[in-house]
Amino acid sequence: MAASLYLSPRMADALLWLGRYQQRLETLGKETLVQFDIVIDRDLHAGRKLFEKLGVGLSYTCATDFLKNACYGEHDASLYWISAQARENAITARDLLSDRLFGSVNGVHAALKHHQADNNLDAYELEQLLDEIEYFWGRLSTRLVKSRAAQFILLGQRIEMIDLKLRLYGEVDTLLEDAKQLNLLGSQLSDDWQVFQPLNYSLAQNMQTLAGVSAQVIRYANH
Amino acid sequence: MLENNDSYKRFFALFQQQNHTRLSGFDDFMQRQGVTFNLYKNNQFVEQTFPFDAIPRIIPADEFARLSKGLAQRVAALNAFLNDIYGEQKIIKDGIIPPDFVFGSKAYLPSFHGCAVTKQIRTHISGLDLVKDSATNEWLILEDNLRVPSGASYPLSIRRAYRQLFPQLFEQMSIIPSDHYGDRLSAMYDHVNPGGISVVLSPGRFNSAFYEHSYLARISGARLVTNEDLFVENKMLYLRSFNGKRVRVGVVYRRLDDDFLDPLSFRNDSMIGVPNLMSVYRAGNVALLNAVGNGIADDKGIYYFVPKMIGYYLGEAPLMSNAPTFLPWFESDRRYVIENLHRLVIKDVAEAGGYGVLFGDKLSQQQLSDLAAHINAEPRRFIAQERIEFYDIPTFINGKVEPRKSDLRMYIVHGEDINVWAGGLTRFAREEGNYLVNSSQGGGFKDTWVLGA
Repeated sequence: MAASLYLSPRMADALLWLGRYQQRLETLGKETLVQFDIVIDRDLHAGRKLFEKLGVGLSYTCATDFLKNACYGEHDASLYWISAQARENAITARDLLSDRLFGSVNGVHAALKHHQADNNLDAYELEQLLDEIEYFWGRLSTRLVKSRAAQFILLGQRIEMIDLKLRLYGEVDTLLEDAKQLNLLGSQLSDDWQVFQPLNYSLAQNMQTLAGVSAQVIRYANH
Repeated sequence: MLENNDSYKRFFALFQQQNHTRLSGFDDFMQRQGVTFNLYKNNQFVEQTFPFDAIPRIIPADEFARLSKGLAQRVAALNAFLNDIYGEQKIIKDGIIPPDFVFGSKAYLPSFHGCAVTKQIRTHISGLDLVKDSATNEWLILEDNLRVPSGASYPLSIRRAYRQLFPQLFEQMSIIPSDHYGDRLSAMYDHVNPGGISVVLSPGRFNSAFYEHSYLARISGARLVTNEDLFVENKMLYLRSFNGKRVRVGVVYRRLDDDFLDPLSFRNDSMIGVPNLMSVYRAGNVALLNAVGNGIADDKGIYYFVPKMIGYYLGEAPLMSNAPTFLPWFESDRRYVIENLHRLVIKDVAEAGGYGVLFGDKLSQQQLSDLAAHINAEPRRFIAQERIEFYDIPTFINGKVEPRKSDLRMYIVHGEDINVWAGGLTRFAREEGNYLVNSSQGGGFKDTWVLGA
């Protein structure tokens, strides 16, 4: 019997969150660079406004200080913290990941850690790291894409994309393609998937629905 | 004395032609791939890389052929011993092994007497520790590990990096590929499987060997699980599936000791075991790798009797020898040990990982006297061995090649046949003159290259 077809809820959860944290890292990394550029000489408060949307109060004095706080500040939206969460989930699910995929997650975290120790992360370095973060999705190899493991990672990615679009931009009407992908993955993983239809609902209702998505596909049954 | 046979000469001749700056690639590889072992220092969880040395241990083809036969023979005898001890106990009745050595050992589990295992195999994965005696040029067995031998993942992982960094060495040295180990494990799972999927049961992410658990699960096609993923119902073991369903588990490559396997049968404070797992095992509905109660066969006191087991069960002469060993439990041995304590190596049978090993020549008169008193009071607790002057092998230390004591753990997979893996974990002491090579004692590791004919 092929063991690769079977995943425990714990493992499925780790894969889904790996996808979520990787996507969060990518999106917030890019947003941090955009705001960094604005903070330099256009709007000192741009970075603070971004993190307010994530429920984080960020204080800084200049663009460099903003970058440091966005990457290493003691809050749950710091790039370092997010990369550590991605790594933890990758370690948990490691037997299901290729060396390249795992190495990509681990390598980004190690680089962030290294820059923290040397206190030398600048925007240019972060740009390089973003390339590495983006490669993660490309490294979901053909073999893995066909697997359950990849479905959960991609489901996590899609949930996070929708979540961030709602939180950061409040845009319900741009979610159609994301919802289509989410429904496709959800229906592959659950026999009684409830179709996600964002256009019919408010932002708050969508956030609430999204929060229940993982429970639709990962069931901790009491045997 | 430095082992410096023709194979090493060939290696160095080829290695000199290589770009040595590429050596840093090993560290990069291990960092990126998280090839670590975990430990707690001052109550802090630390992930540590295992120090690696790029100069491999090299075993010529004829030497491996002899090792292979000798180790397979030894594992066959140990497996027969375990089946006998948990069955008819003929070896005791026939007076080959004194009953005290079995029934007095904490590792013997009388409650499993009569408990059959699938295909009569108990020694699915063995790790036998060897050293090569510089006086005789022969390999000697130092220890049999038949419970949860660890370490195979490190040479397996590094081999891939080695082939990428220095492919010319592999093109020109006829090194037997080692990556079939996962396939061997997988075939063995299939052989002993009474029905269901195969899993590697890990204590979890904070266990010292978690990297190894995930690696072995991946290469053998098993699912990596922790106890919360499994449950027992009607003497069957199941994996909880993410969709609320369940799937039967037939093979558990368990990476936790007997004591922690099932809180209802062993330690009731175990947070990492599976309740009622033993009911499944006793019913023959799951194969546990290795079998429960194997500790009796790798007890340091039982080690003394393995050559006798080979004669008793297989009717053969042992192809490999133990290190010369004395059992203070025997009156004549005890006298010899006490008289020669100052030059012997004394081991506490209850300890492992290089702990409880005392070198007589390093002890003061008072310490020797105290030790003699301990041995007289509890002779079953100790064994004594002649100090083996085992070979040093060349090792990079701060950029220079220096001799370092090294042992070798070889892995034997017992399924349809008994297969000695053409690779192994070579451990080396990082300080000159140190005989303790264990990772817990600060030792590092090397790859082990077995040459083709």
